[in-house]
Amino acid sequence: MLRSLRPLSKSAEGGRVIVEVDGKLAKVRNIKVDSRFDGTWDSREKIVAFSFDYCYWSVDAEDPKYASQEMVFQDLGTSVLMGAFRGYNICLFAYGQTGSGKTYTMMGTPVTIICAFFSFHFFLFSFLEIYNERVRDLLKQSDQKKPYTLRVREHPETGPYVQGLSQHLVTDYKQVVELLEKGIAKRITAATHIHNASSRSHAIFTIHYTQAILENNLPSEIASKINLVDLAGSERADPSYCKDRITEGANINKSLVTLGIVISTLAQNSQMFSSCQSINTVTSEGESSHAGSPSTSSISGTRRQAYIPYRDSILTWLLKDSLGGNSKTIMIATISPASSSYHETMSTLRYASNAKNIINKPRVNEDANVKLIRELREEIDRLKTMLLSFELRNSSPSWSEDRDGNLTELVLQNEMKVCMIRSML
Amino acid sequence: SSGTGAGTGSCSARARARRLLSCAPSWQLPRAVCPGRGGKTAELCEPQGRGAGNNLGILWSERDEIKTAQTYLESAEALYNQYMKEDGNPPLDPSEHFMAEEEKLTDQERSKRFEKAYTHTLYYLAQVYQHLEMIEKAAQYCHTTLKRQLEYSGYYPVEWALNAATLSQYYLSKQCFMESRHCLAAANVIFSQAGQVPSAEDNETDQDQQDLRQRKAEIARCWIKYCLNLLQSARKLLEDNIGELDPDRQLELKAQRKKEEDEKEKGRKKAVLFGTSDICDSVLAMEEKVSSVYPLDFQEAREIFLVGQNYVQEAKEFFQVDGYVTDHIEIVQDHSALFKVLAFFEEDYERRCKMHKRRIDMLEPIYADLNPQYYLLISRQLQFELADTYYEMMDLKVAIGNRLEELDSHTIKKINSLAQLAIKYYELFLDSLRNPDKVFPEELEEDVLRPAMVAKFHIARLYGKLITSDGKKQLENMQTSLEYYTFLVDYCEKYPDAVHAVETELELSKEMVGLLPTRMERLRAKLCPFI
Repeated sequence: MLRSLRPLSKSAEGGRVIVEVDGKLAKVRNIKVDSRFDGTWDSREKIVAFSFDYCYWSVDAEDPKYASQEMVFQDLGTSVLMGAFRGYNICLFAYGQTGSGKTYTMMGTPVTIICAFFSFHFFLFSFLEIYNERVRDLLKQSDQKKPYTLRVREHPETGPYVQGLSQHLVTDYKQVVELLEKGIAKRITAATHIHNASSRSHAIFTIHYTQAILENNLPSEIASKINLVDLAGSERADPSYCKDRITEGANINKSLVTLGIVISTLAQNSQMFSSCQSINTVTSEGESSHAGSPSTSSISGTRRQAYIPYRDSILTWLLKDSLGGNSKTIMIATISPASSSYHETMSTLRYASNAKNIINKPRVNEDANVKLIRELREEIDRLKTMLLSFELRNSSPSWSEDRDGNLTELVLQNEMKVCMIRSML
Repeated sequence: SSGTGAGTGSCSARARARRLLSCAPSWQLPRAVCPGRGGKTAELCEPQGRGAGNNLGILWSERDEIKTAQTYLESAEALYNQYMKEDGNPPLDPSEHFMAEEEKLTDQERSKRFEKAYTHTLYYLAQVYQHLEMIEKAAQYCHTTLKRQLEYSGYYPVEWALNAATLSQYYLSKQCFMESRHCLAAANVIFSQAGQVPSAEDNETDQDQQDLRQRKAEIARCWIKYCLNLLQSARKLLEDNIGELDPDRQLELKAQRKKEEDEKEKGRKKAVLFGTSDICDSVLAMEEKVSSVYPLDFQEAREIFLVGQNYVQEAKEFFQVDGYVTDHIEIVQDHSALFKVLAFFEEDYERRCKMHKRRIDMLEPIYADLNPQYYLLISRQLQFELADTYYEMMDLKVAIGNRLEELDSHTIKKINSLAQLAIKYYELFLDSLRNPDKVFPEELEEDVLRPAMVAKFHIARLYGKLITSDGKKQLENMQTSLEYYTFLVDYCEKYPDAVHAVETELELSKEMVGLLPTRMERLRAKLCPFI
């Protein structure tokens, strides 16, 4: 889903609005074309449209298309609640350029959600921050010298977790707000050229939600997890910013920082393309694949041809199970409507529309299937022949249909002989 | 298309451009070098030259004028090549005109900077080509950049090794095993430098040690994929239309191999060689440990298998199940795939069966410990793989049985038990599709549609393969088989959109639904007199 939120700030005023929401489409006007032909619309004018499940326009409260917090909650919150209530895990991502209002959307919504449920339900909250690929607990005082020490691990039974992360039992809404504020205050902030109160880190607020229920008259429980992820402002989320030692001046000439990213992308894309092609060679048409399209080629689901070493992926690693499987994942992308943010806006939109295509599917092993199909065809032919000839022959007890028909026949004939002999005794 | 690429281009390119403008040198080429090619060349040569070519290239790329960026960068590249051919001495940095004599760069330093700037040109071109989806060219330029890093620029060994290992994976997708092996061998060699050199910058912390061990394990995983791909590609070449090794193909390919060996290899090798003298020999030694040509018989396949297996052990040392569940399981899946492809080369059915048994032994325990609430996808993958493997083993036992004169009850029991286990795991997969209330969905979601239908289809087939002398039992099995085939037919009738996902299976299911009742009738008729 997409939400365009922040009213044009003082510095952006005077710039043009280049984003438009039209139903489920978000349209961005390419300002380069626009500025070259001022006034007259060139036939080459470029408007790029992205489709989403929901689109909200919240720039101006007077605008008839205005979407209020309540509206967003209605659409979004309901589905989140229902999902958690039924035992699904939920993951809510908020992504967008700093200054486009995602912190507001993100934190406002869950607070409204949670105050609805407090009886027969237990809530454990935790709040962590990922900065420079290290994790720290936002709800616990940590050693000042080494604030980021938490290790992210996966346990076969309990899933991915952060070792040593504190969990807090909450019994009323006031406590929730207290926890949130405490955590938010602890987050690292840094000035960016757009919005001063932004953060350079990702934050994940996790709600472990347990319902006590009766199942077949026995006490039982349904547990689910709601993750609220606030992704760092898009320009900082670029992996090339990850390493402290390779950021400024001379160092950037020593190490070609993003070479690794370029190579990874190469490897990933070419792998996707070729795996699409190999599926096409199978006899039965499993999935029609459009070469290179991420939505039909699920990287996680296919038997991967290549291994792409990790590039700074604590976030995705921690939330891996949220990006597929039995989780419902909602991505909220917030963008600024001003033209000065054209590139960031485009980047956000691309990221968000790619995120929609992150689907994990289990894949059938087509080799094994092909063999089975071939055998079955043979059996069917045999069956048909046999049934036909059976009608002609009429009395033979040999019905060797299977490929292992010899065996079945032998066994059956032996048994029948035994029966006959017995009956004669 | 290339969403990630554009992200890299627009966000970081702008910041990079700003930084480079502030600190990158601009070279002044002596006028003599620039031939009279008209306006464009003059623009580049005066007053700036190749450094500006780089800067302009970056600025244009972040305005999405990729083509223009390409032009500027390619000009810079051509200029370098021409310059090196004609002159040989590095050009003066214009800032040098304003320096005192002592401060001026030595020839060596100047040359180094010049070469480094050229490396950047190639690196930016790699990105441009990637944006333009000229993938092969992009890869070629990435490779050359890596090469030049070793020769001219500084590099961080761990990072370089990781990049080389990742590039090897690109080559795998193109079936370029020689290049892939070279990258991996170089990765090993350069990575080992990381341990040796105590760098002044690095404060060795626990985290750093941990990172180092992780990177090593990741390179091992790239090697595993190399071995697996090589074996699987060889299989595709050798298999006949029923999936068995074709002896004629084998002979053909062996003969072909003898001829082709030297010529092409040498040419390609030269193009990609990471050739600095000190690492050359080490890389070669590393390469000699594993083949880069298709294995054509069991012996050759086994050697590659063993290399892969070693790297599996190495990777598992770091990616242990407690802590790295997903990674650990992926490695085990690769190990299982290695056995599977090795089995193809093995002629003896009993030995083949043993290899599949090894797969079961490594996958089953892991599956049992896995909580599907957090690992649903992997859980399903394992269910399917276990089911398929049991099916494969059952088939082998049947084939072995068919060769015998008499079939003993032991073999029959074995066949049936394997079939039942296969059924069990397909059923588990189908169970995983149920909602939290344990109800099987009325309509299946797109991403699980085909696997679910295939599971039903396989179960139907399996019930048809169970062996029993008890006529009544046989009727029951046939009835169950019929029910599963019927499920497919009914589902596709109710949801016609599903047909595209299971066309062949549906066709065969319809046939069986037509034939089985008749067959069952016959069997019933036959059984009556014997009760």
